[in-house]
Amino acid sequence: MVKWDLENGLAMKGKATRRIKALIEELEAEGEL
Amino acid sequence: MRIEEAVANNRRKGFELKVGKEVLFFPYARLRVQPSAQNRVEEVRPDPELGYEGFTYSLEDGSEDTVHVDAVLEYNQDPDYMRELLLHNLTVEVRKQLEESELSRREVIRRLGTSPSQFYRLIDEANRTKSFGQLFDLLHILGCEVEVKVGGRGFRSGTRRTRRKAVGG
Repeated sequence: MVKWDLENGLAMKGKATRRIKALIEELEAEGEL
Repeated sequence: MRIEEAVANNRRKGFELKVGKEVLFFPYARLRVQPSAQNRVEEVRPDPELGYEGFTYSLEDGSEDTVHVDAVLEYNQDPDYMRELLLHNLTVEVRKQLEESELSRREVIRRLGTSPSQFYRLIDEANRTKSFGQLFDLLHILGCEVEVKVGGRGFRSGTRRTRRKAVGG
């Protein structure tokens, strides 16, 4: 599990894999985050 | 932090959540999907898909939403959670200062008198076992002054850089 800091684009807990980062970018582009 | 039990309390207009040994309250007013007298909470349960670090509730009309335990801890101003948040924000600030600094990482490590692995542990935002003192030492080496302000609720307590001093190479 990864806890993500949206403001700074950094993991607060756990490690964000490349796949998770891509998913976050995708969600941000869609305006879901 | 796991949610052991979740109960809807319509009289108090909120959820009562057993987190560790404590029972924490989370009001309906903080929810994205809010229940009403005509559309009550039908079911609430700790969510296994979140590793029990959140709860999912559903309303009579079938709509549902999930709340992470962090939202509950933040609402209740949990001291451990608030400390973790402050530590994270301070680490983010340290990383920004490192990027801006003219000092090489090797030099910072030398001045800090520590090992590279300890240094990288310090600037890892996800690491929660470091101390505020170690981060203050690092900021000092980077030529920053840290001012700590403490106030009552409603006052945004925290640390901030006040000014940057010239640092010799």
